[in-house]
Amino acid sequence: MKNNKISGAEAVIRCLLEEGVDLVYGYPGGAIMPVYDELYKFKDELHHVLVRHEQGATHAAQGYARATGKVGVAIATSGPGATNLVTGIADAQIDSTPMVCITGQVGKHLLGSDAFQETDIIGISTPVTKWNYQITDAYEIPEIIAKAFFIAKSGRPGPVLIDITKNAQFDKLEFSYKKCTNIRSYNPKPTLNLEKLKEAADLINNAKKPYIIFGQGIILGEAEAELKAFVEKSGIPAAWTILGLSAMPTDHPLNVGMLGMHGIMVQMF
Amino acid sequence: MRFDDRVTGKLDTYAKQAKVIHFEIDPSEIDKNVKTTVAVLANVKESLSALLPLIEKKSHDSWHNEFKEKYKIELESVINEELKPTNNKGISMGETIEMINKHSKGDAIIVSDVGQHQMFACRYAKFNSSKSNITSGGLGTMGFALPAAIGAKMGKPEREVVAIIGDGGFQMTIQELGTIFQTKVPVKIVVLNNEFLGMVRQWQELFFDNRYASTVMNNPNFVAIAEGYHIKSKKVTKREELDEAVAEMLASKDSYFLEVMVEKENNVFPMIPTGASVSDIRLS
Repeated sequence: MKNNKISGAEAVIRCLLEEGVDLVYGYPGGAIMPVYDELYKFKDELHHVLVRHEQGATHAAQGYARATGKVGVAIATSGPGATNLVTGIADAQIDSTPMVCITGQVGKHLLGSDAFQETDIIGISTPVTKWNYQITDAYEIPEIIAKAFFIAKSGRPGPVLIDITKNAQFDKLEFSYKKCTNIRSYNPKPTLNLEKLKEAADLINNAKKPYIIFGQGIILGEAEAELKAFVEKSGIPAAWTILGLSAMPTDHPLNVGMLGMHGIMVQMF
Repeated sequence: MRFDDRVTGKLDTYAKQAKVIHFEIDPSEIDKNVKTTVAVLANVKESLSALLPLIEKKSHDSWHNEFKEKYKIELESVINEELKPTNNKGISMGETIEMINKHSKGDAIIVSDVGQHQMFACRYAKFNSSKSNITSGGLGTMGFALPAAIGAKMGKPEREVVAIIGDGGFQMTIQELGTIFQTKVPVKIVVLNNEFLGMVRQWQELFFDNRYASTVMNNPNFVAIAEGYHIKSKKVTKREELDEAVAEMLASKDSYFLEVMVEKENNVFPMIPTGASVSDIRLS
């Protein structure tokens, strides 16, 4: 493109495409209309699924993320649209599901004036998001969305909410995109300590009644093959939490069953 | 895993004699609920790969046998009755799951909602491959399954996706039948209908002297609603109808809604009551 000036709304779509997103769930409304206008133009590249309630958009995004390992994306308008996302966001938070929610917001000059469909979604979603941010100017869009995807997907995954004021969607910016690969003082991948690993191995090798209990981390870490190899080599019986279920085939001989309130009889001694 | 309270039961009697090795990516989970002996902080794929060469090849047959012995007891006192109920009882949720296993051969993605049906689905569904069990664990959000199944099927169109939902949870996000109709996404929806908010009713039976406060659900004609959304539907009330109905549902190339009327006051066992120790697990 010779002239790289595009609208903030178009920038949002371009950022999603750069992140490899091809499917989003959402529900339009006044404060997010510029983004929806761009979704219409880009409908051959980015498919939008219209749900019937914004909560449905978050759960659909979660189902998509859990089945594929990719980041689920949900889009909603301001006010009640945004607040309807909160249950699904809280769900993704506690179950460590990677999700990016984009909400429209009233124009920057109206913030704090009790405008139509205005709510402080940043304040409301802070305790249930891994990160959230309110964009009030178009130039912020590429960097913030890149950060959002990186935070949602890295380390222990989780939901991120990005609130975009309507003026930022209309205003123009010089667009260029760079994926986020690191944020100062955020350490999503702790360095493996080989001393600790050796200590662990010694305990395991000398254990009389070893028991493996595993959860969703095996699936999120894509460590199913490594778990199977560990279980088979060590001969240790393995039980799973409901979110760890299916990381190991249910009929594996060393799979001893489900943990939890309604699990097997032998959960711990 | 993060030693969630549903897994540990009463913390002051949990794994007291055990040496705990915690493979974890999030430092805030170490020693949060259970005291760790050795914490191995890293992405578990990396730690398990590095661990494997350090581990001796072994088997723990007599220890493993202790699990198998207890499983036999569980089989006789709980599991067999749930999966193969005596003929005078209504269809059970467990037997419906088994029927789905029979026809899916363990290759389906199962998306469950929240409640008794969720526990039966997680206990009894067969899985051959990973990323196949999708449910709301930590928050336990009713209404999760119907839209989540839409997302799962669109993400993995080559997999069979079966949503298993209770009559309560189904009504929390029932409007997403509209999304299924409009997109034509071929999800399979099974509603296990006991006309109760089953899990709460179970607690009211066990701990509140059968005072069923606000757990009786008078339901609409679900099949009529699904048909109103132009989704092929069927209702099963008798055991003899189940096999053919499940087979037809899984053979369908389009979305399909199956309502199964299940035994109304069945309970999920084993159970560790809240605040109890894991060793206080009950079989009835």
